[in-house]
Amino acid sequence: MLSAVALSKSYGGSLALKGLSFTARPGQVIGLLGPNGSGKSTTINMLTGLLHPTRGQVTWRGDSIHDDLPRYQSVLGYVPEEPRLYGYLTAPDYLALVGGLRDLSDRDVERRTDQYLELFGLSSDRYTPLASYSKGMRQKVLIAAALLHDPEVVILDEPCSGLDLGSTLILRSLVRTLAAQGKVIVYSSHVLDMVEKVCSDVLILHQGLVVAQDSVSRLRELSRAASLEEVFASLAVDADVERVGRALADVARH
Amino acid sequence: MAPRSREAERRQWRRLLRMSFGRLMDAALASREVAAEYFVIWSAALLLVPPLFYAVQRTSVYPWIRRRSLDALQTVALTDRLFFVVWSMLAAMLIASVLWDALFPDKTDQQILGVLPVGSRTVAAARLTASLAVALAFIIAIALPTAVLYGLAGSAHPSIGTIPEVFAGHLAATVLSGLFVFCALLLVRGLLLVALGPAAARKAAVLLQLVTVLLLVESFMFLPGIVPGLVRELRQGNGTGWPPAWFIAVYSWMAGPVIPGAASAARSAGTATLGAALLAVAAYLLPARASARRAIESRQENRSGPLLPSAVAVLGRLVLWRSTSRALFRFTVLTVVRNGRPLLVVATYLGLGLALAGLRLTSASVRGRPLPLDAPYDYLVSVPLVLAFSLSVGLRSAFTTPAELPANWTFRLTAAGTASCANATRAVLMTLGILPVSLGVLALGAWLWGWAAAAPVAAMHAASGLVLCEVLTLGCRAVPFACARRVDPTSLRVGAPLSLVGLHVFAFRLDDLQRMALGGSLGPWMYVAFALLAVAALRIYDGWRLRPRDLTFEVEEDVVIRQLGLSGTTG
Repeated sequence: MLSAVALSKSYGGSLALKGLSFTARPGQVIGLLGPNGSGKSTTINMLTGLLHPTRGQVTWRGDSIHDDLPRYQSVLGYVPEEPRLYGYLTAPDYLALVGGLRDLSDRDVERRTDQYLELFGLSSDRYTPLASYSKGMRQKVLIAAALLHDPEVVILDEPCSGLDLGSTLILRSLVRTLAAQGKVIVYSSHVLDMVEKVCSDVLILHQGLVVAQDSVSRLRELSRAASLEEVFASLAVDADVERVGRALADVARH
Repeated sequence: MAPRSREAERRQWRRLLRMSFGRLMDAALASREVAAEYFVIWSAALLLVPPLFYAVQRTSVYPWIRRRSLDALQTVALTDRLFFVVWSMLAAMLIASVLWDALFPDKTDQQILGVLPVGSRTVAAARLTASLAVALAFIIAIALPTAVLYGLAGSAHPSIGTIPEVFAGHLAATVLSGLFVFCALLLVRGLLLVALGPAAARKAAVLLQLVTVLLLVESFMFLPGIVPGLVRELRQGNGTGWPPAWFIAVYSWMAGPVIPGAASAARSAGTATLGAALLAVAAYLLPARASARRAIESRQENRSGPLLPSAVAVLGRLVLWRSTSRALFRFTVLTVVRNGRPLLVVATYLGLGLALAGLRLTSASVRGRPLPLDAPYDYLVSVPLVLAFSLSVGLRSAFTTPAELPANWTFRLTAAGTASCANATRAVLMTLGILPVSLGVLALGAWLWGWAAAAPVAAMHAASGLVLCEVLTLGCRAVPFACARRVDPTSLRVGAPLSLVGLHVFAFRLDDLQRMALGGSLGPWMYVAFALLAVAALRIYDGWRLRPRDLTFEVEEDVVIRQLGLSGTTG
């Protein structure tokens, strides 16, 4: 069980996140939504252990993750938003690096690497440096790296970024399968359609605060909204979107 | 073309020129995470300090030579000036090899600029102008201080010029020679790109960078020794056909002394420089459109095969037990080989090592007679120690330069600790820095002295290398290439003398010990045993006192400097 207990984070007096709490059980997919600057990335970084919270804590099976961070990170799989990879390495090199760092045997890493590359359609590019990969290809490598060691917790930050439609559908199926296998999944995305289809519960952040936290169906019911998009728009979007859209189109005409 | 379009093009060119300076700096720096001051300090030290030292040293030589004979004074003056000209040319070679990557469009450039209404030639012209401006600025920055100092020293007699004449001649000769080489190399690089394509041209560029760094270091050490012979030929009117002689002719034409054929050679200098510049511009601008198209289409050209990663993986399995250490070992070796920039650092140190080894051998020879090679004499024992020290320290220095720093999150999220990191770093140093030299000692020693004599020497060398690797990894807490680097002037001031002390002890004191050990049959094996004891003691001390548990990714402070209380900085 992964829990966030009253998580808060300040950067030099500026509050990025306040009082976030949730519990994710094995088999649950928690969606994390929010506009830019709402505190999503800060939350993700705290859940992965890359950032220390100013207040509150993240616990895994009742223990704070910072009590034994390497132990928690050994069961964590993470797909970051930006596909930052070592461009001069190839996909097998990178997966061998990650697998080795996670103490997997060379044989297991090689076998799983071959299978991931085959399933993601990257076998023909296995000797091409990652710098030459498209964004979607790099995203696939990152997903493979996150799952290589069969983690118990999977944190996905914009995993569909750069993926084509087919790969997005595969990812949706993957997330559902991982949940069925009893993994804890945190899924952060701007693609509301995807969140609606895969997540059991959703947290909506706005300006560092949690403005909604419930199952997707319950949120729609409470907001009397037909879709998650309408729920999100009513809670986390301040601007008059129609007016701003028109104004943007008119800027260069004057 | 309508005048308004030309004006718009000029404005675009000016905007792109400003952007190009930043791009050149990005290309010159090892990575964006390396601070600009680090590059400035490193390049200034490498390029300016040696000729400056040389100029200062000459201030005491000229008055003394002037009292001896005019002919000797003129010969010395020509010798010194030839040194400065050749140094300027080598410095320009290095500047060209560092900057030229930024001149040619890459895929990211084309994805941004390709969709804008900007001509490929406009972009190319802006980049070329920026690179010429940067190169000229560097060349003048190197030439000006030495022109001032040498102008004061090298005007000891009217026949070798007055202060203004020497100053002007020095500036003209060194700047023109540097510009000539820079433009000639741009031309070569442009022709390589057109003829061979981007991938092959890039590989050739890396090779040229390595050769340039080596030549630069060797020339500082050996040039003052071989130049007098060249000057003798020049004074007899021979040898005016090679480029340095053209620019010496410019110097002589402006400041003396007179050399036969100086006028026509000076004309050659002007023609060659102008010609190289014009041809470089043409070679760069004419295929600009095709180069831009190639950049966006390139994807499969730089595929790497399975051989290198497989070999590295096998090597990792041989030298390390744990998966985490092997993963770090593989990553470090692949970065050294594929990233390219670390090789430049290693080449610099290797160049110094080769120069010192050469000096060691030449100092051991008596009156130019060939050195005896029939036994492991001390000079033969110290040369591989010098080389191993240079390679290992060079590698260790290269490890502190970050490569694609934002990607280091890969290491932050894993359980790799400082022990694995230290083991991997030591293994790389041994594999790439020590063992190749030890094996060379074994092979060469077996050929010269037989296996029975060579084996103990090689074993002692390898054991010494083990100790060196332990010292170099004391307090190691950063994954190679994955840690941010902050320039610490204290580290630079303290690190260089410490390295010199280390070199003296490792290369020039251990060879005495090894020579003594070779006196008895058990001596070498006792030496090896003591070395292994030292390794064990250092390992225990490191684990107990020095090395923290957690890896750092922010700033790597030198643990030896911290332990010795020599750091002047906080944090």
